[in-house]
Amino acid sequence: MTTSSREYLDPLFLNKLANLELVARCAVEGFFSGLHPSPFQGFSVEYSDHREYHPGDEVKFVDWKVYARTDRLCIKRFHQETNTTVYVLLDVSKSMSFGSGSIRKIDYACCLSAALTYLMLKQGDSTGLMLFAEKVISQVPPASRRTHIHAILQALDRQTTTGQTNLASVLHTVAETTKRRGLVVLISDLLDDEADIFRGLAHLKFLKHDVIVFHVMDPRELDLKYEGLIQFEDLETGDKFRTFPQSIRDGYQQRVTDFLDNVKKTLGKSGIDYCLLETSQPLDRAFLAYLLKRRRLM
Amino acid sequence: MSFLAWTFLFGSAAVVGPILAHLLAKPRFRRVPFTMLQFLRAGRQESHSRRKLRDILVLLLRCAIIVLIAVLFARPVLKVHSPPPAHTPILYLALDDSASMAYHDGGESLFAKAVEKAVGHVRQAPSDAMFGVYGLASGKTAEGLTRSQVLAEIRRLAVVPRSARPADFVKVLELQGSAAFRADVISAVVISDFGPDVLREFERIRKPAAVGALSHEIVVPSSPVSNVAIADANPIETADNKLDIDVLVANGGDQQERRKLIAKCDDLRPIPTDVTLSAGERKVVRVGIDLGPRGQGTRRSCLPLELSLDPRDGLEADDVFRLGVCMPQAAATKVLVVSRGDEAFLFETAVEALMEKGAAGGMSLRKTRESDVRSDDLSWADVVVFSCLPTDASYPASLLRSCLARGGRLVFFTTESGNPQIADMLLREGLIPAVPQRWSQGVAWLQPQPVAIEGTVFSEAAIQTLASYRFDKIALKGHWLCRTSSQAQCVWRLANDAAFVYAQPQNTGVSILVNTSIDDSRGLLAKSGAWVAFCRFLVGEGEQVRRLCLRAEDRPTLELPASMRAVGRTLVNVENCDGGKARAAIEGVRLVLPAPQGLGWMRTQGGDPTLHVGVNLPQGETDLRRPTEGAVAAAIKGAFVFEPGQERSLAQGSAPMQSKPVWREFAWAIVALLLLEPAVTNRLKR
Repeated sequence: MTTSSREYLDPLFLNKLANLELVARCAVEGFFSGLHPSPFQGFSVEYSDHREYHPGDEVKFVDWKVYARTDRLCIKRFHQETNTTVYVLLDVSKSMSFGSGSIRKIDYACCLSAALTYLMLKQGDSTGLMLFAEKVISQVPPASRRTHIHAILQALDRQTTTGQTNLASVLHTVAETTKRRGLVVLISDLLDDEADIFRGLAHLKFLKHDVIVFHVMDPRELDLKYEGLIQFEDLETGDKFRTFPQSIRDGYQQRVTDFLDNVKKTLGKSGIDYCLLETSQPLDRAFLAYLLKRRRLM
Repeated sequence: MSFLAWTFLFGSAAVVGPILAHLLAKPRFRRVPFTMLQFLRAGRQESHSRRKLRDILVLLLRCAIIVLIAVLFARPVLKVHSPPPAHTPILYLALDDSASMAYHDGGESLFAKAVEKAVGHVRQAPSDAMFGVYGLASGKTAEGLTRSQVLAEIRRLAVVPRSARPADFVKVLELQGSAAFRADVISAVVISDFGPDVLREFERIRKPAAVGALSHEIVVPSSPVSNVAIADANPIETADNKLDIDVLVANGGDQQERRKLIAKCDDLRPIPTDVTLSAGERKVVRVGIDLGPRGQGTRRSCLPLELSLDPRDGLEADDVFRLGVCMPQAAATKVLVVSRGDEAFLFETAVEALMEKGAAGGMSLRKTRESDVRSDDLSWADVVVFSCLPTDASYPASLLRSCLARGGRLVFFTTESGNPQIADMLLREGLIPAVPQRWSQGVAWLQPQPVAIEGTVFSEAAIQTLASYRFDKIALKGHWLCRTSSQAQCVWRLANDAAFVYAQPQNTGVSILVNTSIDDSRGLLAKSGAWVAFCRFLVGEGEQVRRLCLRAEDRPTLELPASMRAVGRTLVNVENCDGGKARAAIEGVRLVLPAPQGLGWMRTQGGDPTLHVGVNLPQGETDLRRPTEGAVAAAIKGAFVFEPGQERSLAQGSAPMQSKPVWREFAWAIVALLLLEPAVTNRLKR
């Protein structure tokens, strides 16, 4: 393992991922057989339906038992299972550099990205990485070979937080540039206009991508547990705001809770999987819990 | 609000500290990078306004704590009005119980009439009224009485041999008026005969009392007043052992009166004198009492003399006048003035003035030239006054020594230093206390009065007279520096501490040196008005006839006759007018008697001689002429302030103020603020 690999992929964590898989909920398109449902009929063990024989169809697919009973030539069809393309969208805006404890949001998000990449490559899916802020800053094209993880880890290692978040623009760009429907994993703090975010995600969903949103938040962003006179300085805009956090904490928490509820509800309605991750939680535990939950819902 | 220790209020200036801290201190913000500012800004306005509000609140709390602590140390007290009680009418009855009210014209006395009028006023008063009674002469006061109590108190009053003192009643009313709300409606009724003396006393009142209502009742006899009184009497000793008494007789009635004035002196035959007086007339009648052959009438030093009028009239108390007459036991003081020329003229004039003043012939004067002094002159004299120091020894020193031996005086003035040999001889013989040596030129001021008196060498009365003159305003042109004998005493000094008068007791006599000239050549003493008093001081005074009598309300102090001035005696037993036993104190030359109980005689007991002191009615009580209504109204008007509604303003204006300490309240307030302050501060941090 390289340095970056050791930094983002803990062997113990990877060991826990050995028996898990992340499967798309909807049909995705792929070249090879895999774990994911495909919109096409193909070779599989799972029966789908019958259709009449047309000249040119291979004779081996004729269901002779049906011909014996009905004297009609029918072709037996099966569900196809394929691999897919996973697009990991990682927010590297300035706000992701925030961290009140030992770990920053971006570090947490990088670990998550690495774990996802490892998992998806392990199950044969093509995995690509896009680093974005106001726009897509860099990307690693999807590939399904096992060694592709090194390219992604190097990209994660080289990332630096910069600029403001313009999530909607990036989502629209991703939607327009992806030709096949696949699995889009958005890792961000979602600090952008709510309506724009929803519109961008809806765009992806409209293109029949399976979308998962990992919302990475620092615990201080959730509870605002600061004491004394504080001058808050916005990491992205540089704006300053002086206050006694004690006096506004209740209102702040209420507004954040409303925001999160709104996001969860709206994404849920759109069929987008949403997972809130606090950087204070161990990543392995949080991510494994999510995977197990997702598998139960499949 | 007032403060018992107001200086602590300066401590409240410490509020400047928190105020300055509030104005100058800037909040220190910790810089924290953050992401979700849009969520913070939503609560921004509320945060700022609340923070400012709480800042000011905390500042006010802290300032209030400081100020309250300063006020607490200053010990605040509140001046609060006492709650007003229910209005109660109070009627004050002032009854004249002076001696004149004992007058009767055959029926009931004036005082009995006054009591009837007072009872009538009580019965007419409102049912809820309270009463007060005041005796204008006796000064008896009873306040807060009910109807039955006041009637009993009125009947308990009796005529006393004193004058009415309405000023005291006005003071009582004034105190009652200022005694808070008790006297809501004070009304006063004055019942008196309003004689001239009573009216005069009313007119003298300078500080009137405020009353809500005032009325007066003039009590006068129904028939014309018939009252002749012996107002005063003065004894005058004349030659041939005959005692003349000048008796002042006054007609205090409304008509002409004829009376017989009878003088009784112990066991001597009464001497009647006819007196006729028109209405209001005052006359001095001289009554001569023959004391018998010389040595017989004067064997008693104090004669009890009673003067009476016959027939008696409606006011009997003033028809008798008693006085003790102290007869002089010693012969007249003989003064020999020895001079060279006319320089002793002023001194001789002063001695003659003293002789005239003595009236009873207590002093006689003989003048002679120094060169013509005879032995019998020196043998005759009790006091020898030398206008200057002797220049030759023409008269033997033994005669001067014998003069001193029989209690005489030698007085030397120092015009010049004289013959040194003669002066030394006199000094050696103890005939002169000092001899002048050298003249010291320069203005020398006198001390106000003598500084040291030994025994009875100098008359205390003469010394007291000296104190009446401003001797400290008298300047001499200079003074002699003297050589003194070992026994000489300086009894009077100059302001520069030099000697002015030397005295040297010798046997029972005394020799005196005056450090100035007998004329005005050495200073202005001889021309000043104090010269006669100074001569009296030097020469002494002969004993004179004295009278011993008092008014019933006088301070009972008398000058003792010389025969009773025994050294070491301080107390004398006395029988009072009512026969009671008491003690009188001898203070110097004065006898301080106990207060007289009624009219009559006070007598000393257990001593020789027995003094008889007559106690008589005050003079003003003998005049019973009817007053006019206008005069009474005018006199009372000045003594009372009577205005409608006065009683209410009086009550409100003079409501008593109570000092109520409020530091406990301040302490609790501080405790409450101290508890509140951290709560507010913590709330601010939240």
